[in-house]
Amino acid sequence: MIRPNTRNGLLLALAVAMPAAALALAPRQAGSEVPITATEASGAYTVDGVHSNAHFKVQHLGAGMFWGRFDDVKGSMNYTPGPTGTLDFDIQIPIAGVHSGNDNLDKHLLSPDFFNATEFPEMAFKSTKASPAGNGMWKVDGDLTLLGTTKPVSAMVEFTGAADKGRGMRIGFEAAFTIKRSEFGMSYGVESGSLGDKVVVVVGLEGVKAKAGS
Amino acid sequence: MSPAEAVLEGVLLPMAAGLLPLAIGMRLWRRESPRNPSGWGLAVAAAITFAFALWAQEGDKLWELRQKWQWLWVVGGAAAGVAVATSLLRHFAPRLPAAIVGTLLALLCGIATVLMLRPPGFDETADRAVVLLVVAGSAWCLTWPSVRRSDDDDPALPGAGWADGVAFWLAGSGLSGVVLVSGFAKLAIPLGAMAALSMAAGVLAIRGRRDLGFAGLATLSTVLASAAIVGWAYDLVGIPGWSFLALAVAPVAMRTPLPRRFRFRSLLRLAIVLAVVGVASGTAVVESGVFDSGDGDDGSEYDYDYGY
Repeated sequence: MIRPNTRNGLLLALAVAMPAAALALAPRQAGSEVPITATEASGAYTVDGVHSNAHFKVQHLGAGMFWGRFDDVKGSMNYTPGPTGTLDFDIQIPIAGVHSGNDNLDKHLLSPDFFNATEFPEMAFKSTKASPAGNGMWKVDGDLTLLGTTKPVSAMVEFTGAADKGRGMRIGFEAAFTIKRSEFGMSYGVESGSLGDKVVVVVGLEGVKAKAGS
Repeated sequence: MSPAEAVLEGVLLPMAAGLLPLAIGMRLWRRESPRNPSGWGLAVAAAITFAFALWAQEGDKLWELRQKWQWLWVVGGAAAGVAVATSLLRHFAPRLPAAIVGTLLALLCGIATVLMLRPPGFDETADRAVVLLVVAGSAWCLTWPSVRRSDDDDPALPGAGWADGVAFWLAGSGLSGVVLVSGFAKLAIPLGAMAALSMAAGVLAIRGRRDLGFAGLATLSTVLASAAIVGWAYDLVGIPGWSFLALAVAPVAMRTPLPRRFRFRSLLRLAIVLAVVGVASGTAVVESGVFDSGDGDDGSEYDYDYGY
């Protein structure tokens, strides 16, 4: 038989321990009451292909902006927050993942008129330099390889968040940059003015922290 | 750029660039057909027209040869070089048997193509053998009568006349359409320019019953066959390979043996070429599914027009 004072002691212990346990197991996010520490956020991340994608827009017939999208983005990121932090990207985008909303147009985009997916199944970006620009922004320089041609590009990258909601430590970035596609050998429709040369690329990346030793 | 400007820049200007060497090679200012014509003018014209038309689509990046299909203009130039060299050989060594000259020409065209053109998916030895067989085989079949005709001992053999130009126009136009359906406009338009040049050569050959010559035919057949193989290699819409191959060798039907009692042998042979081109092109269009509705179907039956 449990004596009253002992029972009260157990209840008191549970009352203290349960919130602490709940707090420990609870999802945390940047800006929450229990913020992600710099140490926790630092490290190597693998790009989550399901929740990452790249969008591009190009002017069509001198009028509207046409948007397309690439799925299945993959690669890795290294991140150390702070004013003296570091940021590295090594991203690959399978060309076969292009979507425009129209099957026939998708096939045309895969042809040698545009991305030549048969010969160049991937495009890639590898950062060479990154520096914090304040307010969660980074200026990232790197090499973009498209159609077998590698050119330096500069991107403004926004840190969009870090959280651990029970599915691993995750961070997010959104990068935007502009290229001239003709410089990579994709000149179809440029001279005729039917499609713009300038292409705006917006990449949304979500990385899941790589397990130690992986 | 309007469609008319696109045709002018992509097809007519490249064809016009080839007309000068064609006219010089055919010696159009002379009423009679030149003796022992090799057709070097058509060979040079074909190489210039094709390279010009490709450049009109691709710009200066074409010369960098970063993409495998871009080697097509090199193949066309090499075929023209081989063909002109063979015609010179024929001129300076007239006693060399026609069998040796014809076989040498066809083999060199095939070997040049195999060495320079390495489209994706054609890396195995068997694939290379198919390329060699198609290019050299069609070149041999097409040029053989002209090579023999250039032999002084056998001047009565029929040469390659206006109908061969029309045959290449048919096959080139058909292949151009099929390649366009596969989504490769940058190759389809130069093929259209080649087809236009072929037709021009056919029309010009009528004057003085001129022979288009083995050098020109070898170059045209090499470009046609290699472009068909490239179109096949890059196709992603599911066009059957045999459609490309049939279009590549369709002009060979101009060598179909027909009894001499038939009055319109050239027209009959052209009808065979047309049938082959029609079946191959029709099958390609149906199999490609370009008339099927896409994801973004707006209810219209035809949604292949992207507006550029």
